[in-house]
Amino acid sequence: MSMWSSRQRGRDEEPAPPYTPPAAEPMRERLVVATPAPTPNTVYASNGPAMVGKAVVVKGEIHSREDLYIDGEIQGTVELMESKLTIGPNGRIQAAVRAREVVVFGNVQGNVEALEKMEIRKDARLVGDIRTARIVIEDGAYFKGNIDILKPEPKPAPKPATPSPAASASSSPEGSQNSPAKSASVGEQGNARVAEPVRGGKS
Amino acid sequence: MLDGLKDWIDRFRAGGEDEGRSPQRSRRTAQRQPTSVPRPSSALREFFESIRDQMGLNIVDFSGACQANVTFITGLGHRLYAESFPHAVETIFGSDASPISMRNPEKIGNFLQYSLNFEPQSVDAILLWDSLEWLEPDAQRAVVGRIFEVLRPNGVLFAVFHSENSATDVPVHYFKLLDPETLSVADTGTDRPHRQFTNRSIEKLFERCQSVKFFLSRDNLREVIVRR
Repeated sequence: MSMWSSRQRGRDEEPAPPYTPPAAEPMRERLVVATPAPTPNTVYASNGPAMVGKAVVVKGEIHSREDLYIDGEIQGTVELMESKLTIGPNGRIQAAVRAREVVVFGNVQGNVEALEKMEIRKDARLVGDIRTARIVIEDGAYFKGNIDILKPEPKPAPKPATPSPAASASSSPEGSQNSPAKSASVGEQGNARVAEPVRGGKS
Repeated sequence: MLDGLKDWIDRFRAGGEDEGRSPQRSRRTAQRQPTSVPRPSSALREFFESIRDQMGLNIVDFSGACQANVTFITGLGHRLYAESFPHAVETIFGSDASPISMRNPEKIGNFLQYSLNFEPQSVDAILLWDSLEWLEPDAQRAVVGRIFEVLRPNGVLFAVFHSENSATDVPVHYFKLLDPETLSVADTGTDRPHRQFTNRSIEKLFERCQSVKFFLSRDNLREVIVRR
């Protein structure tokens, strides 16, 4: 109350000076203030893997199509079937992990499936079963669990030779579309646009 | 000061403990740079002859996570279970692994649950190394009893015992597989085993098994192949 009254008195005694707009600054200076120079961190964040910081706790499922670096705590499942997962030295994972490639510097409790490669680095700790095609365990790492080495999948059998132009010309168009070889190759490709004309030909 | 810190780190890495905390393990001395020596092993040859013609066997390696052993065993098409026996001992019986702790039936039960928790007769082969020497007799008998349960009939176990009969410190070894007939043995320090074994005591320990075969060597190590 007293402040309010003193302000009132001040305004009454000394009128405020007339407003004068600030002088326009040169354009170059404004740009410098508005957009700070990129730091190495910002460059890393934009170009490097997605990152879960060490103060972050996630409970649930993580699915990612890009590389992921986890230095925080995860409880649940982590799935990066096409990408690389790195668990940093501060990372604490209590989760089922599936990824194309897994590198562990920190602490993992749970089963890990790395389709291509698994690395357990020095001072890392992993308790759980591993399924992977290749594994690297550095001296000083702790591991307790099963290791299953995935065999590389056998290459698909070569496709049957495409019929020669002469052979296809000799058979009727309907017959060629309904031949088992043709429909099988369409099915293998899994391409709906290719399959549709075949169904149309039948009708 | 820095030398002291480095000594402690070396000792810790070699499996030892801080002397102030652990009177039992303080006896273990660590070598500054463990020297690794390849040695031919007839017992290892027999061990691999037992498993080489089959695929997809379940093999337990108690040396912990070791790249050489993992590569070798999985390269033969087998499934490997890796466990560090010293780490399991320390986890369950405490960092001092005192005789009193190792005689506690509850802790022995916990140890079996922690390190040998397999389905009955589900394991085809075990690389036990010198693990039994660092256990008290009660714990030894319990471990061998559980091994008998989990090993399938005709399954094979490879173990190593020091051949000195005196109650002195013996080298602490770290074993790696180099090839089916050669081991790499690194001395990581010295320690006093909880029990010295004679051939007779080893036979008695595994008396329920089909056979116990001894392989003597020049470096005071007895290699033993036990067939369930």
